[in-house]
Amino acid sequence: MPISAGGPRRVIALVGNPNSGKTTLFNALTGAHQQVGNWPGVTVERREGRLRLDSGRELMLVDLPGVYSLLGGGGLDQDIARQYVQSGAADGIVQVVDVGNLQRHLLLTHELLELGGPLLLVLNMMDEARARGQLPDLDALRQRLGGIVVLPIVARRGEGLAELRHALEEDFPRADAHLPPLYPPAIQDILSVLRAGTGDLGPLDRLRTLEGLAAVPPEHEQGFREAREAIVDKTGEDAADALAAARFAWAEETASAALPAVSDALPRDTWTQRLDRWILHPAAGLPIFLLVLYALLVSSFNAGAIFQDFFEDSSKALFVHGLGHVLLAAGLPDWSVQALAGGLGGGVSIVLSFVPPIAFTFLFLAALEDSGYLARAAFTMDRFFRRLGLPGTAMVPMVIGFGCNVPAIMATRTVEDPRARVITALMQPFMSCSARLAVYLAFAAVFFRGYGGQVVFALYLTGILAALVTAWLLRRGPLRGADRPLALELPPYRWPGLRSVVLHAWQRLRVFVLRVGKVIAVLGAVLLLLPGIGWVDGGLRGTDIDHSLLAQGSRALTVVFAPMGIGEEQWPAVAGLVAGAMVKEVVIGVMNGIYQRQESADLMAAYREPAIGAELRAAVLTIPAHGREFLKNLTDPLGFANIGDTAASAAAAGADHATLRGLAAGFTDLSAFAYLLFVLLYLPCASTFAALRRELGSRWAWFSMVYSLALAWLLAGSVYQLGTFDRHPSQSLLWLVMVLTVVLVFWWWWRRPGHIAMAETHILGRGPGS
Amino acid sequence: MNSPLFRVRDALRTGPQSLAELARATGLDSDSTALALAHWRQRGKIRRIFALGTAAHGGSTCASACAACRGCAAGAAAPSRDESRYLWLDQDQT
Ligand SMILES: Nc1nc2c(ncn2[C@@H]2O[C@H](COP(=O)(O)OP(=O)(O)OP(=O)(O)O)[C@@H](O)[C@H]2O)c(=O)[nH]1
Ligand SMILES: [Mg+2]
Repeated sequence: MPISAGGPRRVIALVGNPNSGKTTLFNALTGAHQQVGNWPGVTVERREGRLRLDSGRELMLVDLPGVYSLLGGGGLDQDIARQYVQSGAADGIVQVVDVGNLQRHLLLTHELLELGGPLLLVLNMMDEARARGQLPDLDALRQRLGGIVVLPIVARRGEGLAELRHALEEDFPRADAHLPPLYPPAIQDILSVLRAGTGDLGPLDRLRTLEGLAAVPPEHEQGFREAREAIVDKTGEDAADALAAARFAWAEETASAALPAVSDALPRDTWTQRLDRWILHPAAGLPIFLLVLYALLVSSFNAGAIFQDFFEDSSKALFVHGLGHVLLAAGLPDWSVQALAGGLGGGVSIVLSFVPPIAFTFLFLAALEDSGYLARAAFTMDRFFRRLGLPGTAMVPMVIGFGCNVPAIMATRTVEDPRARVITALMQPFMSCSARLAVYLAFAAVFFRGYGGQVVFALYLTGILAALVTAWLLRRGPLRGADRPLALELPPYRWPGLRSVVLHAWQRLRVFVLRVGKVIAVLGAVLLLLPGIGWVDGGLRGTDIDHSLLAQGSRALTVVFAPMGIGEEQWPAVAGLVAGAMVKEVVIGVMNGIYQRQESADLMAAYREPAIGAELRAAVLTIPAHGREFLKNLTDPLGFANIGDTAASAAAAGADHATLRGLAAGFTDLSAFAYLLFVLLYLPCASTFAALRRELGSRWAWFSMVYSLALAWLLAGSVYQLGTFDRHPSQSLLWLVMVLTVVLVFWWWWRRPGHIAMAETHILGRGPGS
Repeated sequence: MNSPLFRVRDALRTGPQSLAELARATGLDSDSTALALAHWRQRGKIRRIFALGTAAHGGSTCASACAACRGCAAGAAAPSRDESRYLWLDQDQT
């Protein structure tokens, strides 16, 4: 263990209610980039970071999930925070408090004072308090808290952090003898007697046991019974109620001592309330949510379209044609030039062409997360999710799932009921993550140019519906009955912080480009390098890619995909699906590699005589052309008319989407849509599978795998068969009858009682990592 | 003891109320009210009920519908909007 200037490194934990700004503070102090969002339950894991103080000493700072009470309640995320605080691993605790909700946060302060360790209070969000004209009386608060350090800060803007860093240099002063009693005298006396008799228990364990939240250790049976009876005697209330009531009363008194009397109509609240009247409206809430999602996707698409052709054309000029030319000039053999320029360079160019729309999606998503809307979407969904036996909070992971399914599955830790948590986690793989968005984008560029945003919206919606159907099935089958939690905290609306939104979107974009880019580029190169080996004339021989084993195997598999209109000539698409089972973006990588190989003769000509200057100039010209269209379409903000579909812009773009078009040779619009549906649903990717296994156990992970494969096949097939019904009615009818039979048999099997009991015993008592 | 926790209980004993109504009646902010409700739920003293929309409920929600009716019959204002309310289950034994 590294020892710094002043002895072993001290550990300081950030503790506080959810959404108080702990992670914002953690990031500001350590320079980390942990996720911040305006809803309770963003952080679900413990994070550690190093902090160097001005004196040169180093601290270990620990960011924890938010917790309302150290005594109990909430999901697994709160257990994590509770266990850490109680483990005593921290040398000091910094409680982060939202001054706008002082009274609620002080309930936790009460428990931390009871715990008795070194404690420092930071009052965060002072900017909002100032705007409301409600500044707390810090001295009064310090006094009521027994002289501990209380510091006002604005974590988001870094205000007050210098003072905080200074205070972190020393051990925090503990609450002194002037700390007013935490409980009324009558209860305090009873507690002292109990403390004397149960010295082996920690203060929180003692409270928990007294309040009936934990089992009484046999040796203390009598002590606890006497204490409870004494409390009922003195107060006329059960111990659990009397103690909790005392905490509430203490918090109220302390808050009112620190804050001037609050006038009833707060200015910020009228603003929030006015907006909420619409957003939380029982009937308008759901359409508003769909509208927000639609606007987010279509506007990212259209804003991205301004730059998409530029990125694609210029990166192709540089990384494919240019790179090929340079390599040829350097005297490399043709095959290696093809692999490096066509495969690696082609992969890079494809990934770069996804950057604009994905960057805008991430940007808008980050702004949405920081605004406070997400918690409200959860609230309006509550009414709707109730029928599925899920809490509205299940909505939050689903929106996170649009970025990536893995953190979404982690986020289900905030769901309190274990059954509801399993259901919520199993819904996540159907959310269209950014890797799938890349596949959609590649196809949209070819087939759905002009209404790509709408097609992508339809796919997102299908994913949500598939998730809801899954929840409904699980509720009707093995995961019946669950307790619905009550309260949902609604954070105030906040203007998204520009810096944090941009930073957050940038982080995600960087990860996306690096991860996806690596996969696509390397795969392209490998596929171009692999010698074509095939079963020709009764033996294994070298051959071209069309007759290779890969082609033969994939062609054989196309039978399975025939119902969704995929024929033998689309074998690269099938090869993509097989390889993409592990990582979704591979679908594009494989198809690109195969296509590049089929076209490599044409490309060699481009390498010999590239026209990079002209290509770049044309690429730059696409920006103003698309930009003008975008402005024209601003009168139509929801984008029913789209960018990139008019003759003018197609001409400006040089309309060379050959690479992408090659990916999808032989598809019709309908079969392309069916294919994308299949990509959306067919399997959770390898990391999602791993996350499901870690959080729920392998049985549920395997269930998710088999179930989603079947769902994808049946649904994608049905869409294609219905769409082409008039061409082959009897065949389509046969397919639909088959689907119906499968569904009925499944339903019968699903509802068997033995089955349900089995699932029951399996899920309860599972935690992360167990 | 004058505690916000008991004020919430007293308010609930007069009839089922929504979170917003409770906050108004007890002078608490809505977050503290929500925590007080969480306490009473954990103690098994309250149930969450849903106001009746006309004919919007199938047979499965019958139980909660009845609870809502009881609430209305007990003299609380008829729920105007479809939001959840909390019903005190006291009757001296639970
Ligand atoms: N106005 C204002 N907003 C802040 C401040 N600090 C944080 N926020 C915002 O408060 C929200 C919550 O911040 P987080 O840092 O995610 O809160 P947290 O305590 O880590 O939340 P959990 O992880 O859910 O427990 C975000 O929208 C932040 O942008 C501040 O000083 N002023
Ligand atoms: Mg956090």
